[in-house]
Amino acid sequence: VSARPDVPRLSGEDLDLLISRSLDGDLSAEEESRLQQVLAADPAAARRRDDLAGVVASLKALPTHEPPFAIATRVNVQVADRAKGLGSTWHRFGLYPAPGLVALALALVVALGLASVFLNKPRPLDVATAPVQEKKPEPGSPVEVFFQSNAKDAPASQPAAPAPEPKARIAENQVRREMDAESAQGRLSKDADRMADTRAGEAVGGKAGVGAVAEMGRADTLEPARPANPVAEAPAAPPPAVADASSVSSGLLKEEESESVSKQDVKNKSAKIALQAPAVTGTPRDEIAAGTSAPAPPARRAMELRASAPKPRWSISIVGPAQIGASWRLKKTPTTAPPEKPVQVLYRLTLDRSGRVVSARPQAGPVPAEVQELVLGLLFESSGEAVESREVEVEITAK
Amino acid sequence: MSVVATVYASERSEWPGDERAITRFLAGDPSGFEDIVRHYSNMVFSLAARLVGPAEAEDVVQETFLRAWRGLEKFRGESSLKTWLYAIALNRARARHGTLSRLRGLFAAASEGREDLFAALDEASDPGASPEENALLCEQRRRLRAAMANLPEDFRATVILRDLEGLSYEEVAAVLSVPVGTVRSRLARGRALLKETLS
Repeated sequence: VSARPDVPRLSGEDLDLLISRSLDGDLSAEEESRLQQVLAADPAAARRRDDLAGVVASLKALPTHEPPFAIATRVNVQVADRAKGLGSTWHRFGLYPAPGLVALALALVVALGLASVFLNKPRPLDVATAPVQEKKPEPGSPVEVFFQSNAKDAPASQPAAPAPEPKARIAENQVRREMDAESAQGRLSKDADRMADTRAGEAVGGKAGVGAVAEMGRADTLEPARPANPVAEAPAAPPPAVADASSVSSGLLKEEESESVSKQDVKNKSAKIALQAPAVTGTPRDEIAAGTSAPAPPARRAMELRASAPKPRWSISIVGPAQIGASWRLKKTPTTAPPEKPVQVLYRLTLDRSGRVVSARPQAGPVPAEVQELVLGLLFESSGEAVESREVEVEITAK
Repeated sequence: MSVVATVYASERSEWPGDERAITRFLAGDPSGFEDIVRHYSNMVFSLAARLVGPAEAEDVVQETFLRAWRGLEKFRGESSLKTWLYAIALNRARARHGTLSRLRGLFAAASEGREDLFAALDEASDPGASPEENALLCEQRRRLRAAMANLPEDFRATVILRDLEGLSYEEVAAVLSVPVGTVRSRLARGRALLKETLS
């Protein structure tokens, strides 16, 4: 119970607020008189007021750092340096873009430009992965259906005209090699006979026969099974080996004319060669047939060289107005190998209802036979819409 | 010597007033902003020195006026140019002080140097006082700065703006973007906290 009920009692925070405001002269006359009543009635409040007044006086008495000499000049110089930039140009026109806004706008413009360039770039359509062009062009706009064929990938990506399977091709090559080996074996037998005839006078009995077998074995190893077809997958024997074998044979033929022959020796040597030759030629043939072992080192080098060489490629583009491009699409990919020389021909094709090429008219000059064969073998399909024209302009490129 | 005299004269040039200086600047006359810098740079430096120390105060002043130069066209005159510049300086100091505080947390040895920034200032003796009185005054200032440094940020800014920079309640409210009643209560609580710390 207060001893003086006419004096209001204040909490600590309210008293501090009034004292603080009083020190700053922020109280009204009525508030000031009420505070003075409280301070007069409460010695603790009066001490508190004195303490706070001392703190405020100390704060106001704290020394301040003098500003550095010519700070305003330095600031003005720095601002003037900044003002020489792009910002001052904007300011002359009454524009005050926010910092970084211009850079952001420039970056946005560059990004939009790059995006438009990359988005509008025509991308090649791989028939193997996307045989049908789904995007329909607007009528009247140019359309281009682009197809590229890689000779390496072409067999796997042609369901319409499947290429021979690798195993089948190996088997086919094996048959060819067997036939070549047999003929080569026959040649070797003949050569051996001739060599035996030529050396019959020099050699004595079995020694001459063994020497002839060894020499022919070497020649056969150098050319174990030379394929008749150079396009076959198995590589041809290297030229030095062929030259070596042929030189041996030709040399023997010359000697055959001048020297006499011992019939008995010839029979013995021929029998030995007949026994020896299959054993020599059989090893590479079996390896290729099994498809597991690597071919002989010269053949492997030839394969590596062929694999590393750039493959000729077909490129077929359907060009022309949208009505044509929207009506016909390329269905069958070319199976023929491109010519070695680069070719670029623009064709005007007339198609029948099923999309087969009825006539192909090159727009310029004579074209290679491979290209003409390719064009006549193309097969198109309609896009499902009403086909107004059966003529297609096709640009054939072989790189 | 002539250069020094020119600089001194330019910093004592006639102050045309906020409105005229701003109008000249917005019209493309660079001397309008130069006048603003000359008139307010010392005040901004004083506040920056109290907030971040004298070593970094000039950087805060540079940043403050650069921001002002970029944003002066948006100044609508709802508050005075003085409070607007104080607000920019306070934000710049807070940003710099926050970064420096984090760095000082990483490098504890660097935190010892900040107290030395005001040591020379606090040790400035009063020629009319005795050595004992000067020592007592120096100790009182040191304790008061230490107590100020430990105040919460809002209270500290309010006390600095009011008691050290001499701004009115309304000006402090404009700088801090708070109501005047908030300034009153923050000031009372800040002063009370300082008294408790010092006692």
